[in-house]
Amino acid sequence: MLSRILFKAGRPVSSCVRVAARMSSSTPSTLQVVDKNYPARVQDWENFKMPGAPYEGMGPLPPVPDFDENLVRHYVIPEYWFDFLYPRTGATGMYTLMAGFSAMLVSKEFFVYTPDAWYAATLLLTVAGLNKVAGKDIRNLFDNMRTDELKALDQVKSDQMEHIKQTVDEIKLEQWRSGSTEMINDALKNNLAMMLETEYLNRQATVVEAVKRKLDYQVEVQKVDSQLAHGHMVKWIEEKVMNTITPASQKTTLAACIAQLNAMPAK
Amino acid sequence: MAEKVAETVARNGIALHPKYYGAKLEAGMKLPGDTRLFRDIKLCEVPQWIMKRNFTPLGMWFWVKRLKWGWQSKYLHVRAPKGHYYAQLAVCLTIGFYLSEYIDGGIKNERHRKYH
Repeated sequence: MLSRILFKAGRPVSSCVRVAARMSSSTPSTLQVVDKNYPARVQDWENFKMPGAPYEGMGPLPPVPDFDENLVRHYVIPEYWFDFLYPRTGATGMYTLMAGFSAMLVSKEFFVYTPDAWYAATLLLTVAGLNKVAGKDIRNLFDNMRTDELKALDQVKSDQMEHIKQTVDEIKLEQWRSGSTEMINDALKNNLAMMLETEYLNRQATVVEAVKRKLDYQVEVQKVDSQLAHGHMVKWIEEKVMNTITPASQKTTLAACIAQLNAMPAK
Repeated sequence: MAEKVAETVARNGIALHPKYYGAKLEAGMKLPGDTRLFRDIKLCEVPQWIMKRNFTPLGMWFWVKRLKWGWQSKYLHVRAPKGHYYAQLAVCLTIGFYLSEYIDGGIKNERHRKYH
């Protein structure tokens, strides 16, 4: 908000006057004093977009209007009443009217003069006198107390900001001193590339191994199948053959083999 | 004098903020038929204006509310208020209290003279 810009350390008043001058070229001097004491106001409130606003029309409400002391004379009589009578009775019309009216009230004793009236009159005169003598000073006192509190709050924030900035600067200085930021960055980059390559190759090898295992399994399955078939066939043939071999046939076969052996010449 | 009047009226002449003048303060409020400023009405039109007023209890309640908000937003809910609100309040309360004493109290017996 504007207060933080205006009350930065070392720039108390001049920027406020600059802001007040920017606000409107015809700002009267009383309002410049008010701007110094009540600075937190958005000037262009109709076009101000709330940051992070959930919906579109959520703008700031119009700012509270400034108070114009020319509206009221002697604190209680609106200026409009004087201007209403000006065309017929001139500048003193209202005063004459009030004087005549109070004269009528007193003479007809609608207003009775009692001790209470005396007390009220003295109270009024005392308060008016005090206002005339010390009014501005008291008001300035309270306004300064208020602006001092605002300044202190803003000072807290600016102090923290400066502390943080100092810390950042110190860190950067240390980094520069060791001269290590660039080298660290390069090493990290190379390391990263190498690690990526290694990971890639590892995963490739894993994939290859997995595929190979599956294919080996199929091969083993086929082998086992063929073995089983071969063994089964052999057994079956043997069984059949054993079944055909009778003692009689054995004898004949044996005699035939001996005859063949006898028939072969000695080579 | 006329230019000063025009300047003040243009800057700050209407009680409520120009964005909210004549607007309903609450949802169920009904504004009276004629919402011109009282200063813009001619004397011959005043009875007509009075007849258009909302004389129901709720209407009079909202009338008081509009008066109060108008008066306070002109003198109290401003950026740098001063003592004008409290001075006017004191005068109004004084007059009101004196009137109640006069109408229904013992002030008439404390007159200094019997015949005026």
